[in-house]
Amino acid sequence: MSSKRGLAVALLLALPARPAVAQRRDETSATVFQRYADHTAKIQVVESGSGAKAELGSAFFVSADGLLVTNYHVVAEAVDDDRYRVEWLDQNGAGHEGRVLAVDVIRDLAVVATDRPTTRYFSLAALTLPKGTRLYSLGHPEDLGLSIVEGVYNGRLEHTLYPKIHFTGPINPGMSGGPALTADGRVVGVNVATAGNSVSFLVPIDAAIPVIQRARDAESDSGPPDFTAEIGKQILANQDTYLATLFQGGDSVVHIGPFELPTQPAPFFRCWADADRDHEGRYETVDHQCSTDDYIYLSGSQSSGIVSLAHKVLLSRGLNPLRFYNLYSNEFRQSHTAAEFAEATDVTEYRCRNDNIRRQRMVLKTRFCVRRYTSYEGLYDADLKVAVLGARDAGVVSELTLSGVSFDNATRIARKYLDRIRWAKP
Amino acid sequence: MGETMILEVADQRGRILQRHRLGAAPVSVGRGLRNAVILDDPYVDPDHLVIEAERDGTYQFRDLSSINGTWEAHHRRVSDGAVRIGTELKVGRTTLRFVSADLPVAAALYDPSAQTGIVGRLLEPRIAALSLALYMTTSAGLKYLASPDDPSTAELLTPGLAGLLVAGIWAAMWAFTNRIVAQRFRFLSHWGWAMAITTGLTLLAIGFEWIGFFTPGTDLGAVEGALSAVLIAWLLAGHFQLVTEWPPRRRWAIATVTTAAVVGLIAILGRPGTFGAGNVLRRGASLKPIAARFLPASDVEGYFARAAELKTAVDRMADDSTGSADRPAADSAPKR
Repeated sequence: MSSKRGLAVALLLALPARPAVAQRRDETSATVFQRYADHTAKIQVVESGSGAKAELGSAFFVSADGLLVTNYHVVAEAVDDDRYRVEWLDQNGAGHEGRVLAVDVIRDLAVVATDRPTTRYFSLAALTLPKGTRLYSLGHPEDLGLSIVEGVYNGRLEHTLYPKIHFTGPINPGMSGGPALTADGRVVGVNVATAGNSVSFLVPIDAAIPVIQRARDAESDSGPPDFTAEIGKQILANQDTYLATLFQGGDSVVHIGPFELPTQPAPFFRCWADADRDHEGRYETVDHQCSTDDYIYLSGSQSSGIVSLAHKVLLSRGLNPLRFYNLYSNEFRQSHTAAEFAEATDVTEYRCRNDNIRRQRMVLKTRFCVRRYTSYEGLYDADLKVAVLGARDAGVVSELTLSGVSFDNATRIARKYLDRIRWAKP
Repeated sequence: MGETMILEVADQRGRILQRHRLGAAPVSVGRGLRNAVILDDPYVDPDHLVIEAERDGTYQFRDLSSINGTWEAHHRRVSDGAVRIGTELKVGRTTLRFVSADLPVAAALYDPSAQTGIVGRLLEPRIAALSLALYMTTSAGLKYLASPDDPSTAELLTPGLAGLLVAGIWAAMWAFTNRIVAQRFRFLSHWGWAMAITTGLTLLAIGFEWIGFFTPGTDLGAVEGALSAVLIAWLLAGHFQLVTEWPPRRRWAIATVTTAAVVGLIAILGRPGTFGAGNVLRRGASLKPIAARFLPASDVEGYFARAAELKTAVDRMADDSTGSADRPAADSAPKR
């Protein structure tokens, strides 16, 4: 059992059909809906040839000149593929062409120009709220028509790589990009994802303000930038920031058997452990895994910004060394991280370097593999795998996976990781 | 006319007992010991018939008033007649057949017991049985090493028996072919050969696992593949020596082409280009219980200095893949 556990967070694209949850009607909901329904729009990505809908989401107006804010993942298909275009639907269901002006892949935001001046828009401002404040989320769940969902503000998530608001309310696929607001009409965040059972997430609204500014700049300059280059730049800048914090402050290590191993590289990692001692008493295995909770949506097939590490320690209980090492070899051949964040066209093949590395009294059988993003220059996936050699009755297979990082960062983090693999007793 | 004729004597089951060249002198045929062709058949008279050459070079036969007579095809009893190529006479339970002396004759069959080379010796039942035993031992040993929980005897023997069964079916098919082609049914030999090849390739792979373990930075896949290919080609060529009459050059040419085709197919199917992290590393993943001080290793600096070439490699791959999508239009444009 080596599958990645943790919070399964689904983006709110209207793809899988799930039962919509009926909402309790109350006075405030009705008032909010009446007052702000016309501040929102439906967004769909349309395949140009057939005119068929490929994706569906929600959006809301943020300016008098008709700019819409939505999620990047709602319009992603149209951003990196000419065969798709963005369409927005007004309150009467009439479709109009929309132009993507700016994106922020890290925060999952996009700004779409409608070229229709409006008076029905939200003025955005950063705001702080007490936990428990009632919020109303607007959007198009499962393409069932504009709906309002009442829920509760539960503060910003702690220990997360990208700021997110925890919203307790059943937001569903199709509501992505819609606003979540207070009863008096202040937008708190943008619907982005759900973990099911009313555990939902919003992108804090302050993240949208610079993206809107960039959209304005793009409009006044020569139009929208080359988004592929822009997205590549955003990921590169972002990974530089968060990777700098890995394996900083204090040595987070875990002792398993005779080994000292790295763990919890930064607060935004989640770690699990699992031991299995029932192999007819011949050997024991101990699993220890850490992974970032968050990821960056690039396209339906590719995501980025995921870092995970996994240790599998094997301890012999009197097993013949040759038999024990057979077992150990099999573990080394397997992959321990659930790493597959891309399809064949998104990345190159892996290229690997195999060698032994000597450190103190330790020989590390090391395999370091990298592949490049085909569309985004300077971004790589890297996979470091290590087996500690030399002990006849103990072994550890350790694997570090980085996705969407620069090559320099990949080697730098890999070295830091190797440095933290040691014998527990000198 | 005047073509030299051979008299073939065959028993009831069609087995040829003797051949006799016909010349100018009369040939007497019977059970009596004075005859030129003596037939050991109780239904044949001591003096049964005689074959005589005519002046024009043709032959005539004459029945010597035998008790059971001389019969031509279609069960016609005859007292005399002309003898031509293709004539068949029945006397008692024996068949006399007249064939041309110009008929080609197959080369001598290969007798392994008369050979000294390793290829021939592998055909001996004794050696073949030894090969089967070696295979079973290897397979059970590997199964034992691969099972951390103590395997039962049945579990130890299962993979070996499965291999024997598969190779046994293969050997049976070839044995039947061999029966048709060379009239020998060499089941055990074929079986022994199959197991020898399997054991050989397994031991080769284990050997390379150890060599690979001690030379971690180098990829010996090509060397191992080449050696396996040579082994397969040699065994194929050896096999052809036994079952065909091809000259050595032809044997080796066909063995080489067949091996190249097999190796090529494997190379294409197992190409590292097949996508997925799972196939990133199959080779060189073997770990051995050897003390650290005996192991070759480089330092961290050196390792990552050399890892820089990975960047160059994948960058080139990425440029090639994006470039190829854009290029065709440019390529087809005329050069200025």
